[in-house]
Amino acid sequence: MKTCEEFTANVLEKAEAERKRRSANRRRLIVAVPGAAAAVAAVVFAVVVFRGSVAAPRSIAIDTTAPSSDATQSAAAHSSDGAAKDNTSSSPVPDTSQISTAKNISATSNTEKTAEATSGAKPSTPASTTRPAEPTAVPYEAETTTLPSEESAVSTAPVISAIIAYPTSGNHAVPETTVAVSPTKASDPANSYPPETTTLGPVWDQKDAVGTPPPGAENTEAVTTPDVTDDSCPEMEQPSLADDYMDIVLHGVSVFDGAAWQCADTGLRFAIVSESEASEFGNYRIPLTYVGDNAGYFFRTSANENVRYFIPVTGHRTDGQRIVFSGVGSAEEFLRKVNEYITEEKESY
Amino acid sequence: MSEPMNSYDRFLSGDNSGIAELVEAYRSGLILYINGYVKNIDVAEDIAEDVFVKLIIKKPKFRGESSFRTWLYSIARNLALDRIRRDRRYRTETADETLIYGGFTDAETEYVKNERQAIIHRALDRINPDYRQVIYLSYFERFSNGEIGIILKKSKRQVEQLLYRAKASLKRELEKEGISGEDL
Repeated sequence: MKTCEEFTANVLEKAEAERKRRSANRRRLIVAVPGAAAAVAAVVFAVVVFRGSVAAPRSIAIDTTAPSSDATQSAAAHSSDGAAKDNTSSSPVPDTSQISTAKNISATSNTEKTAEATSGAKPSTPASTTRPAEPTAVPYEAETTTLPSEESAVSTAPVISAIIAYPTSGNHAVPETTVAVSPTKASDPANSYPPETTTLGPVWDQKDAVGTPPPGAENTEAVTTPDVTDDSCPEMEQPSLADDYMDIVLHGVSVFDGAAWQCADTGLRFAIVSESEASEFGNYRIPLTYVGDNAGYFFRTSANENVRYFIPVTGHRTDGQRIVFSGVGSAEEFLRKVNEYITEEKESY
Repeated sequence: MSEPMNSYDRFLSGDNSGIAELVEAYRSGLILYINGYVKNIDVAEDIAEDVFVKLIIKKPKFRGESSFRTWLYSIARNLALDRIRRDRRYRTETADETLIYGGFTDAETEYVKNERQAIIHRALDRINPDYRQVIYLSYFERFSNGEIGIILKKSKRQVEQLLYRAKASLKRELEKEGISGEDL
């Protein structure tokens, strides 16, 4: 144990070191700012150029449909013989005579396509290296000729689509939305690169649910939908936290610390306590989120995460000083009192 | 010794003896308080130093001693929690390890100078950390419930509830030691 003098000396020494550290940090910041600004400018410039390169895919598509003397572009354009020939060549300078038109391939029946594929005549080249010559009618996979100068614009188009499709606000932790992941089909006449759709992971709405959903779970699955007008879980007694045991302990909404319920039909005891206190009670610790639009609380237990439970709205609040939400006869009444309590808490703080 | 706020004002005006007086006034209480979190007196002392370092670096303005003490204990709590997050091992130490140490002669000695107080101290060490903190701040540091609320980031009403449960919990622990309510 240090003496008071040693302690003070240590404090002053640390303070001096801290001052020097902060001063050095400021100097580093001053040096770093011009570099960072340059980096930001470079990124902005790159984004502008990048967006410009993908902003008009339709015009690019039109350009490629036109006959061209350039062998590469000719490969992407129509050919007139109508034969479905091998166009899988990845040669930088493809033989135009061996490349079929997209239109012709589109016109080919499925049976013919199958036969072609079996015989090896029909290409199965990945779409990522191709682009449609006629967006309104041509399947994307029909275009297989490499267009080196435009390939980057084609392959990056879906990425941009995904970013645009992603919502920027809302309560959803993981939004349910469809995003473009690959330009495989040209079904939209207004867009040369319509997206193939996919769902991004599990969907979870924080507004009416609590806790972390199990991987792959969706809101609509295995949810016990409560009837908030049903008083099936009325007050039986006022459990006290001093009883030391609660079947289920909830935490995460500090203004409710000390609340406790007991279910009439199940006899389960619920308590809301602070996180550090949660370990003192019960078997389950459940993060709780206040559900403002619903008269009660949803929660999951660790025993079965696929099932959501509902805290009875006619429960009874009790705490150390026996300040209770008493006389609550309906969901609306309960919710009103809870909201009053929250408001009061905020004002008193 | 000067009034704490006078000492602080002198420190702000460049007189380092002011900070020495503040250290003398608040060091022991802070160390004990922080020790309630980290359960290691050396670490608690280190963190207490950091509290004063923050005071020196930030030079916050206060409206009186109450505000000043509240600030000190709030910072102490934050730093203690940061340290615990960084190094969980302090949580695992036993109460005996934290109680028996040499060289601590100020406030700690007052609390453990007789057997009953030692029992109370051990019981305090066994109860929930939140309970221990609120009891310490209320009964040892004489903070008001409102001030405790500021330090612990809780409302006054929550502090009251917490204090009630803390006392009940402490009472149960003391009863295990053979001390009944009448003895207290």
